[in-house]
Amino acid sequence: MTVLQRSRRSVLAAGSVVLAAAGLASGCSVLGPDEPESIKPPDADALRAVARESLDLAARYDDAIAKNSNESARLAPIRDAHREHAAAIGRSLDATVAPSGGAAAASPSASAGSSGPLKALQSAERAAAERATTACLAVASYYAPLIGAIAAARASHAEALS
Amino acid sequence: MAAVVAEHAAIFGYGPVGARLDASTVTLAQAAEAAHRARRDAVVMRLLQRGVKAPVAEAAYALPAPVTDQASALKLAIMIEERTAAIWRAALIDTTGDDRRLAVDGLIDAAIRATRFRKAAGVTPTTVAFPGRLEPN
Repeated sequence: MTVLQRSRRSVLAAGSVVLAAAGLASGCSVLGPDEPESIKPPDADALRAVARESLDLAARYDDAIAKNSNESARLAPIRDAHREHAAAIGRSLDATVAPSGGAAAASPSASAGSSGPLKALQSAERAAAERATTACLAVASYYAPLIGAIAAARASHAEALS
Repeated sequence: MAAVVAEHAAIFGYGPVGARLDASTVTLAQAAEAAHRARRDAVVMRLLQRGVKAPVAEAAYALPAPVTDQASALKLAIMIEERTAAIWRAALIDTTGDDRRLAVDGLIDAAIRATRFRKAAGVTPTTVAFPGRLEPN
């Protein structure tokens, strides 16, 4: 609970910084609804699916780094971001998401051939960003900033790899 | 409302930014400014359709730091995109449907542009874990 309460304050703090930076003193509230008392099953499923995909992507980056260590400086922060995404969702769900999801069975190494592993990661990021965007539009508003930020991070990863 | 103001400020910021960039990076700034204009106009239109008067642009916005050369111009461009991302992320909380779509697109596009400018500036890493979260994670 404390994590969620803290994150809610962070949203307020972030909003205030921006408003102050823009020289504003508007009365617009940046606070939305309170944390829901219990997460709805479809939301929990959507969050778990995004988290699983984050862990799958992290594993693909591990694989890519192992095969191409000179790209490690570029790839490691992206891999770490995916792990952070899964962890943040886990905290939101108030439970750890098991890394052994069904989707993990789709081994990335087969698709990431030596010809263009970065290209494969890039298209995986784009597709994953699309799925997180769809999830962001579907979940209760409390979870939308987290899932939206994950969608944006994935899209920016694709840009970073281009 | 906050989003309109943030977009006004972003459009203003790209004036001094564009003036200090070389030919290869100025196109990035021009594209970014055009995107902010389009997004601002889309939000203003949506507010108008609901009979809400959008805030008008100020004559000028305070810049966080002087823009004197390409490096400081790129730094400001990165900051503009990070702050715009934060506004759109906050907007996700109290929107649904088409409005949330507009907000998440605003967040995604700002994050992509921030990465483009970090690349142009040679800033690494070129991405952040949670776009729109301003304080250290």
